[in-house]
Formats: sequence, C-alpha cells, structure tokens
Amino acid sequence: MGNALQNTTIQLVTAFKNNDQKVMQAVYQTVFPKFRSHVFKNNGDEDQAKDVFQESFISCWRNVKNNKLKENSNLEAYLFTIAKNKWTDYLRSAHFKKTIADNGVIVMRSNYEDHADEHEMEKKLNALHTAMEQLGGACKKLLIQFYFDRKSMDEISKDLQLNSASVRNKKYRCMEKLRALAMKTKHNG
Amino acid sequence: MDKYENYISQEQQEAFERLLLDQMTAEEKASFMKKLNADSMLKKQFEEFKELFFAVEEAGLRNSMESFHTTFKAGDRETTATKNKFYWLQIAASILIVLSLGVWFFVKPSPNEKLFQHYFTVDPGLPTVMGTTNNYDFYEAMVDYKQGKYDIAIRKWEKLLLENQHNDTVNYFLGSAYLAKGNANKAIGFFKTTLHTDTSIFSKEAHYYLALGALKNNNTEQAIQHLKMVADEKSEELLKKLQE
Repeated sequence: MGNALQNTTIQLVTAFKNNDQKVMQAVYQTVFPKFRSHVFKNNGDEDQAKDVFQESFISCWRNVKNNKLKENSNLEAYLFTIAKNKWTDYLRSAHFKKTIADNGVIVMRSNYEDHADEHEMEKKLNALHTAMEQLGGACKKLLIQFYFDRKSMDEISKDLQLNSASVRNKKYRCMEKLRALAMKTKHNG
Repeated sequence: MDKYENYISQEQQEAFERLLLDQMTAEEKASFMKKLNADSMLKKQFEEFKELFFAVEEAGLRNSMESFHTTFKAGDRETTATKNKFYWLQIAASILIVLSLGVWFFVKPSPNEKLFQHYFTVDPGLPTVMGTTNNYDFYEAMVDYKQGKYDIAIRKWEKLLLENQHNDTVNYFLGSAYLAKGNANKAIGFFKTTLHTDTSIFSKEAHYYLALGALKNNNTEQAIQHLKMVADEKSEELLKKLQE
C-alpha cells in the first residue's frame, strides 16, 4: 500500500488502464477508510459507504481509461472527490424524494447542466450491465479473463483444456451474444 | 439477433481487441487509426465494440472489488462486535446507575451520618519508636493500625486484652480500630471500658469517639451527652450543630 502511495500519477494511470489489480486494490484500500469516515460523519452507514464507493471507483477507473484525468492530478484525491460528490448526490436524492412525498412539489436540480447526457449515458451503461448479468457464467468468465484479467490465450486455453482456435471462436460467439443481449435490453427498456 | 445490424467479423473483433489491449505496434496502430478515421462505419463499429469491451471489464472490476473489500468486512465484524460490546456495557451501566440510585435512596446518609463523616478522623495512634519499650506486642499491633490493617491490629490487641481486660490504652485503640472499620457498636463497648479507668489519658478522646459512635447509630441524645464531657473547640462546634 505504501508503494502505491509513492507511485506517481502516471504509474497509477497506466496501472488503472491495464487493470493492474494489485495497484487498484492498494488505491481502493487507501481511499475507502477515508471515505467511510466521511460517510459516517454525514448520516451514512457501512453498506451505503461501500455501495457509493464502489460506484465511484468504477467512475474513476472509467474516466482514467478515457483520459479524463487531468495531468498532474492525484488519482487518489480524484477518487475521493468523486466519492464525496456521489455521497452528496445520494443525500440530496434521498431528500429530493422526501420533498416530493411531503408536499408534492418537485424541486429542480439546477447544478446538473448536462443532466440529459448523463441520463443517456447511464441508460446505455445499465443496458450493458444487465446484458452482462444475463450472459451465461461460462461466457462471462471467458470474457473477463481476456479483457479484464488480461490473461494470455495460452493460459486460457490451458485452463479450458481447449485449443486456441476453439477458444477464439468461443470468445467471438460470447461477444456476439453479449451485443445481442445489450441491444435487446436497450430497445425494450 | 437478425433484428439488428450484423455483428462484426471475428477478424475485425480481434483487431479491435488488439487495439484496446494495447497489443499493436506503433506502426500498426497508426495505420489502423488512419483507417478508422476514414471509415465512419468502421468507427461506429469500433465505438460499439469498445462499449461492450468496457462492460466486460467493468463486470470484472466489480468482482475484484468484492475481494478488495474483504479486509474491510473483517474489520466491520470487529466494529460491530465492539459496538455490541459497548451496547451491553451501556445497558449494564444504566442498570447499575438505576440500582445505585435505588440503593442510595434507601440507605442515603442521615444528617447524623453526614456529621459523623465530617467529624470522624481515625486516631493517629501512638508513636512507635523501636527500643523505647518492652511492650513489643502492643506496638507491633500499633504499626498495623497505623498502616490501616485494622483487622490484624484488632486480633493482636484482643489477645493482649485477655491478659489485662481493663487496660485503658488497649481498650481505647481497639475502639478506634473498630470505629475506623465502621463497627460503631463494638467501638462503643471498648471506649466505655476505657472510661472505667478514671484517670485515663484517653478519657477526653474516648468521649469524643463515643459521641461519634452514637452519631453513627443515629443516637443524638447520647452523642450530645458525650460531647459535653469533651469541651474542646471541635466538640463544641459539633454540639452546636446537633442542638440546632
């Protein structure tokens, strides 16, 4: 964990882009306790802290991959800021629901200018998320090993006891299935 | 599946993968990017594939985060256990407070008890200088008495009392030791015996402690009588308070 703290932002960014799980774990375990204290001080509990933090971690990781993290900015501080903002948002939304329930008046949220874009993006991600859930266990495992764990074809072939041509074909079919599921969800939802 | 645009070819997918997994050489990448920017259809296909690719990665990250979080789960259990422990401690403390209040209500000190506590100080005892006396046993007990070991002192002095039941000094200090222990009745007996010796050097003190013993037993009348026999500043002050 200490090494992760000493790593420069560039190293952390590279590690996030390559899904380096050791580095991501170190960042996760460094920032989560700080965020949890923040949540505890602001009317939240353990489960809420975990849920909001994991969503924030995903956002942070996605933004890093899309090169949205500014140069020279501290990745851990960036993650903490995202999480803090998401917590504020969470508290507001709870309050928002309560306001409607209490007097039937809908309060406009003015601090979200690109709300429509955000909503569209969220819808797309949800469709993909649902598709991943619907994908069979074998496909899910295979794709995660390739794309997230970044295992080599040799390793995966050995693991599945199949030749590489079969594994390649399996991978192709799984992606095709995932795409079909995502399109179905998007069109129906 | 037929309802939607056809999926890309396996070769195309593998090319996209190589770009996203950063497996292309610089040259390969440059030529691929050039093609991508020139072909809007290809670009659209790539963007779509990228989203699917990211969705798989995200699912992987979600799985991994559960294992990142396990250390905190262990910690949580500890926190909960500690919380529970404190919870029970709080309940125990509340019960204790209620009980103490109840006990205090029933045995709360009477005004005389309060006066006793205010005016009672244990007799400091006699100086025990080695070699000045041959009454070794008596002074040995005196050492214990001065150290607050009243039970040991009492045992030793009571042994001496068997030999000389009317010794005013032994009786007086036995009374002192018992009163220090809070046993007023026993103390009163010994102080009274002290007074049997008419010329006892302890008679003044014996009367004072008898008054305090009486106070402890909530017998104001007797306390007043004994105080009248003492006639020093402290006794007169206490007497005044009792007569108010």
